[in-house]
Amino acid sequence: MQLSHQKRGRYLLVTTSGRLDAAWADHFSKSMQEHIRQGEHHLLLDAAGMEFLSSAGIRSIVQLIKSVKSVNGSFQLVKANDFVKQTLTMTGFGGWLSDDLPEDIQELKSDQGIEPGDGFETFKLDESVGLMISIPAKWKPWQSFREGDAVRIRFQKNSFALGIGSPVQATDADTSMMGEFLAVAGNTVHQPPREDEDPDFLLAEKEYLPEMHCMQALHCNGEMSHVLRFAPSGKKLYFGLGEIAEKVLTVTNSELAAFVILAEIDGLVGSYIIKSPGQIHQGQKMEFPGAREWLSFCGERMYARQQALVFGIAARTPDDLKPALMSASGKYEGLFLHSHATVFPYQPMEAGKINLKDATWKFFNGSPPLALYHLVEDLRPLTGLGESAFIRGACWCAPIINGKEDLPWE
Amino acid sequence: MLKIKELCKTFSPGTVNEVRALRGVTLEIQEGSFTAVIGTNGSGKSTLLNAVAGSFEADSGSMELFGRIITNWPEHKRALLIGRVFQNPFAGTAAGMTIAENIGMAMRRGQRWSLRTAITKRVREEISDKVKTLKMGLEDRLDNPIGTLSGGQRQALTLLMATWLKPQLLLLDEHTAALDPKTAAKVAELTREIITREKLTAMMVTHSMQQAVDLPDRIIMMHKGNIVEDYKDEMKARARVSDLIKAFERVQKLDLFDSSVAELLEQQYV
Ligand SMILES: Nc1ncnc2c1ncn2[C@@H]1O[C@H](COP(=O)(O)OP(=O)(O)OP(=O)(O)O)[C@@H](O)[C@H]1O
Ligand SMILES: [Mg+2]
Repeated sequence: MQLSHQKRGRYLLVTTSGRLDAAWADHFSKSMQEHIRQGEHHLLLDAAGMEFLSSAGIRSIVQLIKSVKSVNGSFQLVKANDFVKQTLTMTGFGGWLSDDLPEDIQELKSDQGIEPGDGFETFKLDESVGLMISIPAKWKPWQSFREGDAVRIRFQKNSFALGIGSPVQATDADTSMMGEFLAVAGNTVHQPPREDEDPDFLLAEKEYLPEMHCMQALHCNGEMSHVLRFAPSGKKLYFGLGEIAEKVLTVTNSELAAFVILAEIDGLVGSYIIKSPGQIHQGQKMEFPGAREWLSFCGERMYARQQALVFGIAARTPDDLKPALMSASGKYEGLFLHSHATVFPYQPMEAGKINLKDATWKFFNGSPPLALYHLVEDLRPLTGLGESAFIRGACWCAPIINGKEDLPWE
Repeated sequence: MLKIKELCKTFSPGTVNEVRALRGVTLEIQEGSFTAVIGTNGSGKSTLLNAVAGSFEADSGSMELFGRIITNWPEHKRALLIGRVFQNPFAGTAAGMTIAENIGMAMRRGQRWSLRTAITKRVREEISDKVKTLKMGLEDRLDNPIGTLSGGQRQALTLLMATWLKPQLLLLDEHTAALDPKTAAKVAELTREIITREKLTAMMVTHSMQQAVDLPDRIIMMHKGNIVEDYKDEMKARARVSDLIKAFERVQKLDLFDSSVAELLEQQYV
């Protein structure tokens, strides 16, 4: 079987020849999924050269249609010969057949010409809204920690947060389980403080609102004002976290903003707590090699081609101020960041101006998260892993609209 | 039972090539236990087996095999108690000699004999019966030089020879690594059969995580001359290949966590 493709307006026209059977179904599926991953959501399969279609082939087409539908795309099989037509019609899948190319397809014209610009497309949601920030739990590494310092937070459906805590249990605050977490639209993912445990999650469903015992929390409530979409174009192959944060501050026209990124990963750089800091009873210095007992560092750029869900806070501050619980970027002057990322198995995302709750729910509701990191910028000479970066995706953001007096400066 | 205590070995000490291959390894292997030894390249797996076999003298530490302190025994004396199979199929046999002669030699390990010692009819039958258990049809080729056999056939024979006299300890160092996948699986299965049938105490170095999970009843993982993981009993029973891979990742990650990372995280953990 041979496959070739050609961009035709908003469509990708894939030409096949040969047999789509058990021997080729996998190869076919893989190439089509790769097109969808690269943002081609309107697929036309030119089947003029398709000699044979077996049940395995039909199954791979069904799979493809499912993927296309999940991103609100379209699929049609055109110019099939009588045998293929008959097979599809008799198995009840005749609805995908069409004799001609769709009318809105442009004559041989490709819109592969890359749009000039920085690779971002900005959509306004509601410029009058924003987020209110609070810091209900203020523990800083590696201060000593008293049990009474933990704060119980119930996340609302418009809550966005990151910090260190443990899910609320029947037996009150258990300080041995404090680890990193993030909350997006009330749904929380937390990493138990164990090297080889996967993250766990709590979903805001119906009446239930997730709760965490937090020793550290940056907590925002409200609505997002913008959504940015980004995708590789020309020589630009990925988007660094700092670059996205800079864009967020520009778009929201603010000094302090919060953002949620949902995107395919180029590489994540970060670490997570593997021994609960809830158990520190006297000041601890992060010294080598003792630090290795408390933190796990990724060691290499992780989770390429999977999907990241990031919640972060970005600030640009006057020289004499430092935002609380945020660290300075070494790469972008005057930029301060704190962000946590969780990783989900990859799923394609819809194009355009998409809704945060729907888009993220698809992941919360799918396969469980694979990891959760406190993101780190690693600019060590020679061995540095750089910053986390993303290939394509969406970034929702909003300015933080607290009054000047109650901004969280240190 | 094998008891290893605080075993150390440093190659080329005091030179630029110094390698601390064993850094105080302590390990007890129960009678009848079959232990897999896994670990990254250069972690000291072969060195550990070689130290037990007496290929070199350990710098410090002690080894006891079924009540006898063997730490200072020369290699040939230990060879009477310890059977070995290496990765290289051509290592354990004499290529120019026939299958029967090679086996005859293994049967008389530790006894005085010469090449001319005749193989009696009765012994020949015994050889033929045992070779038959390999199910490779080699019983019909007993008079062929062993050098004419394939790697897999030779490795199966080496295994048979190494266990002929029921050694107190069997050491296998990646003995299926040089074989094609199908033959490797066959020799692995044969290994299990022989070890179970003869109730042998064995250690097997392998890079195949699947083999480590499937064959033995205990898995130890080495890293930089130390034992860093020890899966036995229920832990071994529930260990999967993915657990072992995670353990590998864990030690490698730990290696990458140096003082510069600690400094980085101190700045960025807020
Ligand atoms: N005879 C020797 N002389 C010098 N160095 C040696 C010698 N034997 C082993 N080493 C060194 O000791 C270290 C451990 O080697 P060893 O062969 O035990 O590793 P291994 O775990 O068996 O690795 P592999 O999986 O590659 O077989 C290595 O750094 C090796 O280079
Ligand atoms: Mg070795």
